[in-house]
Amino acid sequence: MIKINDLYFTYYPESENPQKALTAVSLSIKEGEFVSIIGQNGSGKTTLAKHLNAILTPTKGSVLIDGINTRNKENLWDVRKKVGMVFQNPENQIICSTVRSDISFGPENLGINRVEIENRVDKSIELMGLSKYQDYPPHMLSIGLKQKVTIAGVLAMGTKYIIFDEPTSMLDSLGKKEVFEVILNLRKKREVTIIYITHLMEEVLKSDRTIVMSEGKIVLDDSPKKIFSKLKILRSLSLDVPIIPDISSRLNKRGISIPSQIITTQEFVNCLKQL
Amino acid sequence: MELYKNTIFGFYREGDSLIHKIDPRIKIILLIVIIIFISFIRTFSGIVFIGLFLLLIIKLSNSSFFYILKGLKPVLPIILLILIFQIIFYIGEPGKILFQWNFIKISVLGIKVSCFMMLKAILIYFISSIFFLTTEMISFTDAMERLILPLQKIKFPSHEIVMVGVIAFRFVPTLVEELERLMKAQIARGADLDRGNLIVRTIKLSGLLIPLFISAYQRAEDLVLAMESRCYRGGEGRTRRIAKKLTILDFTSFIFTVLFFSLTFLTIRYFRLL
Ligand SMILES: Nc1ncnc2c1ncn2[C@@H]1O[C@H](COP(=O)(O)OP(=O)(O)O)[C@@H](O)[C@H]1O
Ligand SMILES: [Mg+2]
Repeated sequence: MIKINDLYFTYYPESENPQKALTAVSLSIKEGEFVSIIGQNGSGKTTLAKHLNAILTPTKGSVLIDGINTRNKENLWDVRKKVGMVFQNPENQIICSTVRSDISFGPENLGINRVEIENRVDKSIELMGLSKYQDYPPHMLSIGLKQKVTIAGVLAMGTKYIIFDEPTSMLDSLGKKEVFEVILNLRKKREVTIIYITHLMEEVLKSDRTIVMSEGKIVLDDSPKKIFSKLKILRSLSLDVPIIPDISSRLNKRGISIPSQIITTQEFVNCLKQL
Repeated sequence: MELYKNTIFGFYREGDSLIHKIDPRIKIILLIVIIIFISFIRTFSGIVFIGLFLLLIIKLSNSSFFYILKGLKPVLPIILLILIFQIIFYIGEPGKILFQWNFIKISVLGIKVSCFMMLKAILIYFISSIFFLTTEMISFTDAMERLILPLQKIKFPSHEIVMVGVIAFRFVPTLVEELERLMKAQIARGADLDRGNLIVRTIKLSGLLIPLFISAYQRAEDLVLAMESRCYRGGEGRTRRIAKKLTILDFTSFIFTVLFFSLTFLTIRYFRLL
């Protein structure tokens, strides 16, 4: 369980120009959840994510990962063993010169024995569908495949929680689809807890729970369905609204009433049939 | 314009040739020995000897001479530029002068010495290319670390130094790609990078370096974050690649190379070719 208590964070607190990035964030995330985080650029999503694996530590408040406080320097590696991170740009996350050796990088850092490492690497390669490419130099792969390599690298570390910081935003549309698919597959297995930052509403819809951030605060924290029924708030935060709730709200204005919890195309079609 | 496709320096090519199999520690030592040797030669016959040796190594490593040669294409203008400067500004015993205009003198000796330097540089390029084509980055760094690890006793940060090297190399392909992208962007805006004489082109190209450095810096910062997130904390406590024992192949290749170079050296000496 991840527990965040009244977290404040300021970049360069000592300077003339301190940047407040998080204000009074409290949150807990249970094991096996698939939580999505949305919010405008600069709303503090990345800053929050970086607190979860102790890249940043709170200015005020606390972050506990399975009870381990990230503030404590001695706990740093215990925290990172539990929380893996996949960043936006796969180009800047691949360290080694073949796919296989890059996936081994994390487990090697943990000092696990060789046999176990090879096992884990095989398993992650299989899960990400990279068997064909394991001996390729990463720079020869498409950007979508590169992102799968970085995901495999985190999986091989055996982390319990994985944070994805807009992992599909640099990818082409095919890459987006494929990478999100493998993440959904991970979720089905329920072995890892997924915290997924995105600005794509189709992706948000697949999560169990959505957190909306604005100006360093959490403004909404609910199921995606409920969140998307609050169109006014979403629009006021200039966030995209998924197409179906958008259409429904327009129809509602013209007197055709469609319940606000209708989100998917299928539900929408069924609802229209009943009118 | 096809920079990326032609750059091979620093790239690894999967394979299981004899050269691939030599222990990277031995390969590093041999690479250093060979480079030192090359910088010591002073005769064309020496170059020929090394050239033959390199051809043998290329054969043994299953790479192709032309493939490696093609890798020089992107830097050809720079090489030519240096060569021309060297010939023009050669200062030394003038000897026979072919052409003179103001302070520019072109002498036979100047041409000879400059071409010679260039050939040596190309030999060094070849041997290092073969090294990187046949040595995977991670085993290279592992080997480097093992070689300089004893220095850690005197508080020399060997692991960290090695890692800096890795990052530098890891970025060769990415930066080449980036440079190509920047060049294309400039061309799309009407810049004419291919036109003009060598000097003009060099100046035009140097304008691309600043954005390239900014992006390299940003990338390096990201890479460090990614590495730390994956629990990288220096060499301590890290599982190494299978700690290979040195094999007969390693000893043989070591002895062969050292023998070859000693013999070459002695022969040349004996016949006063050096
Ligand atoms: N390295 C940094 N130094 C100073 N300010 C930063 C830094 N990174 C982010 N910020 C500021 O913190 C705020 C939150 O940024 P960030 O967490 O990156 O938001 P998001 O990921 O939602 O776009 C922004 O106002 C941003 O300008
Ligand atoms: Mg961000």
